[in-house]
Amino acid sequence: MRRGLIIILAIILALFTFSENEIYKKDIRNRLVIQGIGIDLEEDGTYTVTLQAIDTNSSEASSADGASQPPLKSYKLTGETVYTAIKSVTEKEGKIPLYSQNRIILIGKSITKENMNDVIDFFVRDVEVGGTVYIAAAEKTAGEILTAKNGKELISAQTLENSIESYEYDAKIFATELYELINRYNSGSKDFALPLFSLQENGEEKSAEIVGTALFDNTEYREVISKNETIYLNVLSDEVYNTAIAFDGGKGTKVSLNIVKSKTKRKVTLTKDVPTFKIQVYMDADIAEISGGVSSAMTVKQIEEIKKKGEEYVEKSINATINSLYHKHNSDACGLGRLLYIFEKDFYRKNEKNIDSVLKNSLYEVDVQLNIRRIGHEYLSDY
Amino acid sequence: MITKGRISAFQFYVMLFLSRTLTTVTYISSYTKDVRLSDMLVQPIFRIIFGIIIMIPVYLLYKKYENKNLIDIANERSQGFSKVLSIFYVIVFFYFTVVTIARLDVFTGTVVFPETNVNFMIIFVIIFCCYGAYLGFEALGRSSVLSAILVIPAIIFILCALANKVDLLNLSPVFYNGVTPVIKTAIDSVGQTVEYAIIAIALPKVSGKITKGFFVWIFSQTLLMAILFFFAGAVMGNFASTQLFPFHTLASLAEFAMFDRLDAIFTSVWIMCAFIKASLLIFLQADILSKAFPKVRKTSFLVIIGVLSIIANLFVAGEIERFSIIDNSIIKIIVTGITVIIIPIIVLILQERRALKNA
Repeated sequence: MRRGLIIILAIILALFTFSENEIYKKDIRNRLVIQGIGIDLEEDGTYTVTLQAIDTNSSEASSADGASQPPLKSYKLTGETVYTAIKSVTEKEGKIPLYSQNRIILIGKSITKENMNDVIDFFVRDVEVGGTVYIAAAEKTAGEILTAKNGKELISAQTLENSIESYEYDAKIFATELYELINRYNSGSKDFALPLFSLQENGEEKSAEIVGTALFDNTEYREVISKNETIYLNVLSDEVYNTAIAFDGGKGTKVSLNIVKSKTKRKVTLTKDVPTFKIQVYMDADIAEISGGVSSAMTVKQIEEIKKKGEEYVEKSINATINSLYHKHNSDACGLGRLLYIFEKDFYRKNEKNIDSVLKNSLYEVDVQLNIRRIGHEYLSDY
Repeated sequence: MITKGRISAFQFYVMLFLSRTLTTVTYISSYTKDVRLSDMLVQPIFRIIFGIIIMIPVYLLYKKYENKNLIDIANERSQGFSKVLSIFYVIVFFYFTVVTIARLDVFTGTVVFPETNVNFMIIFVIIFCCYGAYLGFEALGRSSVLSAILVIPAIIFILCALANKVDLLNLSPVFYNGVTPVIKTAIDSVGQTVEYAIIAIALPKVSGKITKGFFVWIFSQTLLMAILFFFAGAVMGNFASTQLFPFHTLASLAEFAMFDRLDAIFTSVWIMCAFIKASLLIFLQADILSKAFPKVRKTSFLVIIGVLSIIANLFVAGEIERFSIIDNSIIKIIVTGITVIIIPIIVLILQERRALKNA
């Protein structure tokens, strides 16, 4: 019985392995290893999808500086849907796209909050893409960035991914993974924000840089906030891991703080149908630089002054960002509306349709507590 | 069959834990549209209450006739009635076997090999499960304990890797659409639990502290369910409801050191649990049939069940409409209600009447 069973299983396993051209499909040489996907919506309603993929046919395996870097190739494809456009690459290249190594999805200016759902549906359905891929916006078209060359080489999707990943070191970037975007898109106001890439040209040299954060709200075109405001958008969203801030330290000095830890607690209370958001920020910071003054021993009093001025600066900056988001741009990119949904569900249910105006007319109380953890390798005179 | 022995209550409930874990991790979010993920955190409380209540008739029978199951007790009254019950339970277990393999097929065809016809895999898995059933109840009990040693740490590992992605604001308010949808989901969840029917049939094969084991089992698998739903809600938020298999997506978001996407671990958990569940169900079908029709060898029943399972699953495979018809929660609730509540109550009443007459 056992021997017979083993033979049957071996036959089935062999059939399973060799069926449906499985070997052909699994061979990496027959796959187009996608690194970046750019999507633009054309005026006639068709999509232009720009793929950046590893060129497995190329014999060049290293870049000009000798560092190992896979040769890249870009493809411009059109189709009635994102999927049909991507699928057409097989006609051109004779290879089946492999999305599992994709690093970034870049969307052009033509993609707004309204048509976002049509764009992302393919990525939600496809298992290979994965929910952790970064999604970002392009200032003009996504194709322009993914096909741009710095010298002879394409600006790689990996470089774009690295730029976004630097949010862990500097909160000037509002990094968004696909699953986070869909989570925001499917909740409350549907407002979301993405890092905004712009193509910078300096003669022959081109680079893609993050110039701010694109806010997707109810307007036809996206609004943009600066990189400095993005820090406080991240503070409001409790997404700061590390960042640098600089402010006037008094007496002609400029103080730079390295924020090493930040925690934001957000609460909402209702008073006569007006929500009040209480935002408490706790930050641990190291003094990184005091410029403008002669380098001399610090006193505890000076540290206290820096702390006070730092708290005032952060508080002012957060208030300015709240003002920018809720009054100027009508955007709930930091998701405070979610607090109403969770903690004041009856009020939320009643005002779900006009949540933007509710948030605009809400009160915001910001309290910042800054703790100076280290002052650097400089003498402290009180000891 | 290799052995006719009993297994310990510990082995039995570990086996049931793995079996129910499969249903939990293969949770399909589209089944519960009105219910938000945070409701699923509360749902287990109702689920425990319903689970305990529906098992009262089986418990009363077990207390009175410790070494007999429903079918054995019915046999005391009438061989015909016993045979009808046997066939009914075989059909129920066969149905759940087909659903189990069909879910594995949908999972494999959607997530693991989306572009491949997985018919050969279905055949392979069913033969493998039949072999597991052939090895017998004791072997399944032992392999369940070994599998649990792999499955439980694997789940804990995945959840630990997800801890830094937890954001409590991703959770939604509890009872946003009222209590009724939550209760409906709890009933649905109980209906998805064929393990109650397995307990009703397999108890005479188990020795040890059965009642205590039952409570540990029902609390532990409910706790696992609540933990998984908590992580799914707190990590993915509304994204979870867009995914066919949210727990697989959850695992794919987990990152640990240089390892991205821990869904491969999740897939192995799934396959191990599917093997245990399908093997156990096939074993019970062959066991019931061999008692009802003692002239036919159990191995022959195993072959027949295996062939029928292959035919049924190949019929269901490849067409999502057929899958949604057979994996219907209303059918499961009705089937569970009949097997766990109605039949035990009927048997209990008939036995009580007989006792009264004899007295």
